[in-house]
Amino acid sequence: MVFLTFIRSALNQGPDKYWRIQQQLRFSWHFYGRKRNCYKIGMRYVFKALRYGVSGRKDKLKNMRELWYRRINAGSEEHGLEGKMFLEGLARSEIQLDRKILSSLAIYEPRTFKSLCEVSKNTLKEHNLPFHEKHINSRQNLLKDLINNEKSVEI
Amino acid sequence: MFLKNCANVATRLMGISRVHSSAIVPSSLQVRKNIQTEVENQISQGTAGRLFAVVHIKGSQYKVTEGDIIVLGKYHLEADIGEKIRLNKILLIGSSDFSLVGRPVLKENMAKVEATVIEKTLGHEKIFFNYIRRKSHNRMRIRQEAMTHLRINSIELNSLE
Repeated sequence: MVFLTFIRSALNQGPDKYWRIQQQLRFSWHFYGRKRNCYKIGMRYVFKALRYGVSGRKDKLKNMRELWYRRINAGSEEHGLEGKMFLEGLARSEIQLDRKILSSLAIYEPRTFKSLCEVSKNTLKEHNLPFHEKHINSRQNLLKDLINNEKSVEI
Repeated sequence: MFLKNCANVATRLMGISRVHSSAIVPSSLQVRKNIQTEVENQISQGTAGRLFAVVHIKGSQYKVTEGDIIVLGKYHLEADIGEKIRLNKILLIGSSDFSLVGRPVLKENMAKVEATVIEKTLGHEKIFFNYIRRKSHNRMRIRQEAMTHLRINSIELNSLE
């Protein structure tokens, strides 16, 4: 587009600027203070917020993976296995279940998870790998400890 | 080192030979036989109850039961809307009393999971934005990813072999 006069070009900048501001206001509607309504002040904060949105999407998967592992660890410790060795045993017995799936199995299908623990224990024994038996989170042991403590108090 | 490598190769070979051996291996053979007969009885009589399966589709795994809807992200399937498809890679099938684990997948004849393609849509708008400070450089891209919805019609267990 060619503008023959300066006035024409100056007039034409109006709508473009308007839409640019409207776009930013859509991102900054939930801010507090002048950065909510002022274009130039809010620009920095909107840029930063959008950048956090991009990086947060990456971090979410990382955090979920950590959470899955913790759930698997808690589930396998009930059956006397560390989570690390449990996964090692499964990998050696060619069971390629996800961490996501394993964590959901640990919560909602406890009997299948128990059988998976037994499989991994057997394979660890076959490969002569050491695994330390732990009983940290098991409810039965907690109950046992409570009972023993009560007895000791009585004596 | 050489011995170690040999051992690794041997274990791998053993693993490959063990592919498709589905039932969990208990300590003694008699126990194993008993379990196998019990599972076969349950399958033949149809008293296994409601089944769930873990299915592998395009690099991600889903735990499904009958009548479930699952959403596959980032791509459209080749099948059209309304078409019925069979999900071949079944990693695990479980019921109330037993669970069959594939190494890594079950045989084709053992189980059958069928699904229909309900919908092919786009996801929500994702904003990809980056800037370099003090350099007046910023780029904004808006992307919508494709997604397909599947409904699981049936999960069938036919036999152990």
